[in-house]
Amino acid sequence: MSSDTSTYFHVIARLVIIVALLAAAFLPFRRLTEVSDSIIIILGAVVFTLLVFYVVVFQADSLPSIHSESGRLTSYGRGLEYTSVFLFGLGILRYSYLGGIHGQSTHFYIAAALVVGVFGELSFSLYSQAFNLVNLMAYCFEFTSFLILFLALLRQSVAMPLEKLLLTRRVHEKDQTRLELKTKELDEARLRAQAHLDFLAHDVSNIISPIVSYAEMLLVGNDLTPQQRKYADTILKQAQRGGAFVANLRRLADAEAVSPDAFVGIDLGRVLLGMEEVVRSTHPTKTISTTQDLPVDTQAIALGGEHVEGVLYEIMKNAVEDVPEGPVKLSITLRQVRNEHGKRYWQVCITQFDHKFSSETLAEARVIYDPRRGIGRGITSSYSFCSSIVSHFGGRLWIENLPETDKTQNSRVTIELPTADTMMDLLRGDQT
Amino acid sequence: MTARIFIVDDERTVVESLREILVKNGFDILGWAHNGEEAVRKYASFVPPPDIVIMDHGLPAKNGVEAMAEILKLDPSARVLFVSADMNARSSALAGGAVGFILKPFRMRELLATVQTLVRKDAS
Repeated sequence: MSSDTSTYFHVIARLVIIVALLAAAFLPFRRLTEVSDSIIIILGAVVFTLLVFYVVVFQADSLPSIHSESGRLTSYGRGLEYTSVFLFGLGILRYSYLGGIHGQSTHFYIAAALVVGVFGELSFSLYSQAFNLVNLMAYCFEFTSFLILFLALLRQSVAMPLEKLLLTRRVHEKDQTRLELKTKELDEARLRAQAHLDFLAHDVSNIISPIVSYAEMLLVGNDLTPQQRKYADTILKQAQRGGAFVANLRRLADAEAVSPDAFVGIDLGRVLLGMEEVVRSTHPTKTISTTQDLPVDTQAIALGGEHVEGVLYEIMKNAVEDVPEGPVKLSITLRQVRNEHGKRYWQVCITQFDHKFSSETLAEARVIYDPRRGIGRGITSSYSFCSSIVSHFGGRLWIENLPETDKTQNSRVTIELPTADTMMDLLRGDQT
Repeated sequence: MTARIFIVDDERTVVESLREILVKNGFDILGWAHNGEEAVRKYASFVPPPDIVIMDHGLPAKNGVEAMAEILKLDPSARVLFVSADMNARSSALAGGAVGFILKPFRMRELLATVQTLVRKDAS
């Protein structure tokens, strides 16, 4: 193997590098991605290398000589070096231009590497022997040129994407922290609002309580004119409406503050069994008689916890307080029903005998309290609020007067609450 | 003998109205207190103790249920009737030994009927 062989390899390698760099610089961006992903590039490189290897090693005699007898390059050898310099020059211009257009420093790094490469090529063109200073400088220039080139590629392909990834992660972490802070602020605001409403409900009730008492004291006296009696009666009723409204609003706010993931189960049968005793304790002067038809062998589990229990208490309380004199007769039934989509619900029917809802109460109960639609008629009806609470837990509530039989009038309050499996379907968004 | 009642409520107007209703209807008001600690202290000083304690829940220093617990410790036969605006206190009050719970704003006849029933039960 002659010295020409190694020089040929060296020169061809540099020519391949600069041609490849120029090709990459002139290819359109999209095409560049496609080409770099293509297997043809790798195969082409392998085939080309084998071809060069074959020609340089086995057909060396057919190639013109690069070195003269004195060891210097022949004019052909210098011609190859100058060709390289020319191509390097083209590369410098093209990459500087691309750097200017895209504003990417990587292009300038490549251009700088090619500038150093030009000095390397010029030094090689002055080659006279292997261990002289010019040859050593040529290798130094070549080393520096490749170092700059590899640093540029490493920066572009590895360092910059990694930096972007880290930046994105930092932004994501900041957003996450900001979100957590906002959620915390919202939770605190909700708790504050709830506390304000608690205070409001408590204090308004305390303020209204003496008004109700004094109005009643005026009404039991005999020294009022009909006009004054009317005024006192209006004060009494309006004060009671105000008190009921605030208490119901607080109850509804308490229920709506419970998110679906915090819904608590309630055994309706057990609650209904104990409800009569609870109402007796809060209305010890009333005579209450109830008949109950509850499932004996099944637990009637619905969601809503103390809020649904509060609704049941409110209905029983209303039933008791709607009868000023005489016994309160109630029938309570609990059974499972299916809706039109086959979903199962627990249905509680509280029937009150010898009782009739006024047309005003019936109309008010149909109004659902919804602050987004503004406050309308019926806001003081506890049935309206109870209905909103029940619907928060996926159920519904309605009141009605039953058809009159044998000159007796009965009324009924019906509550339907989804069974635990139906509630799971509803929470998953399956309404059918 | 006239039933003797002790009123505990932080709202002075409520105390005043309760006092007037009960006095007008023949009950004897033994005294009143405006917070839980004062209620326990005064209850301990009554000889003989009142027949009925009308207790609010949202009291300063010591709430109604806590005050009732201490009163029942001093006198297990004490009869505490809760009259409160706090519906959430109902179950804890009844579980803690209250003989009844009336929600504010209450009707006068409801209060009187409840107190009279408790007095009758006491007498029998």
